Amino acid sequence: MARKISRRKFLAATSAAAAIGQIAKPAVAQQKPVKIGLMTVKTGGLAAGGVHLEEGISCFLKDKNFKLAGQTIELVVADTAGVPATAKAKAIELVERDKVDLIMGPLAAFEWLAIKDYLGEHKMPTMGFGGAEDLTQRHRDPYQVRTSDSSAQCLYPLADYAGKEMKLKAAITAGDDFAFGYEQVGGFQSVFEGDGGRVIKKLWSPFNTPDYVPYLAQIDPKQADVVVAVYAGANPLKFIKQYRDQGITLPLLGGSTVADDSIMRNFGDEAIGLINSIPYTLDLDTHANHRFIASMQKYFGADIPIGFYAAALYVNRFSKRLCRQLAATSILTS
Amino acid sequence: MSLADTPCGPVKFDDYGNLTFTVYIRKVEKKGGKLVNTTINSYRDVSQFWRYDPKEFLKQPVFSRDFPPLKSQ
Repeated sequence: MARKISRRKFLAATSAAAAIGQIAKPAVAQQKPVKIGLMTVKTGGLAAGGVHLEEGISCFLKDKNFKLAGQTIELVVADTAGVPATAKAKAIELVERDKVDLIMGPLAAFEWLAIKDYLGEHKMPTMGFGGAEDLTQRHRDPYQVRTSDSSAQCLYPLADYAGKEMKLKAAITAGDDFAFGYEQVGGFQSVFEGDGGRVIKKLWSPFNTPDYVPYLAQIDPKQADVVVAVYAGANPLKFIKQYRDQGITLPLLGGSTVADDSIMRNFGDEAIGLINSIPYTLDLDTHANHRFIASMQKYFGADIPIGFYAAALYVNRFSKRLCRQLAATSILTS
Repeated sequence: MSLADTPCGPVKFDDYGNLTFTVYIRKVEKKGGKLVNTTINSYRDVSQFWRYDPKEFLKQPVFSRDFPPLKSQ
């Protein structure tokens, strides 16, 4: 029962803070804090992005003095190490031991897929970050929403731009040999070919590929007029360096993970000219973005890398739909 | 802070629990000795279904290694 009450508190707090929903506030503020469990990656190959997720939500809560609509918010951070089995163990801890009211994350789709059914059984409101299309399409859970982008989402406008603005006609794609790569390429191909272009070759390499030269050797500039690279993690850095080292001059395009603002300092001049598409950009000249950047620099230092991962969790993206579903479970009427 | 006023620009949830948002097309440039992204175009209200009808979209299989297939040349 305690958890039901605290979920109600959470809804009241977040709906007011985000100016969404019409859920009544409790008459008297409860003393027990509302708990958010953040599942992120702080160790291993995905740690850079994982740390940025934590910075984003921490920055948002600090700006709000850890209070939303008068309710104290407590953040519990779990490190999944980017390993599905660890993510499962951490999810169980957050749900059954920490009794969190909401889970944010996990970072990677393969982690989310590993805990989706468990969280569903516990009707745990979840704001996941992984991209796998079907988590919000063919196999979605009514309590789980995505606060990042679906894998293909940024590739549609990129393909539109490539065809209509850049007048490109023949693409070779190159990416990591797993679902995130396939789904990005599928999105690009659909729109690009719908506009009259053609994907003529798809190159897939294992995530831990040390050397892209055998793949780059398959790029024939006489066959194609553009290369679309959809790598994740640190792979864009390696691929683009070797791409230029091989003397390839075809224009290079990529999605939301190839040139996030937070990784730009890791590139050399080989990245100049790279066209990329993403839901957040550091140069967005709005009050909300300037305020976000100022807060990040205040809490984490003037040199803090800032990009989409932090920006996506800066605002509490709580959905009206999720509120309705929670209401339907009698949590709000008990 | 409303969902209309995030650091990313306006965002909103679709009926499937995924956000629609602005997608920024950017070009990497060197400015003041540093590599930065410069926004060169933007697309508002981009959905996970792009401009396709969601019901029709969901009738096709999820994108995979072989879908959509390469067309014969």
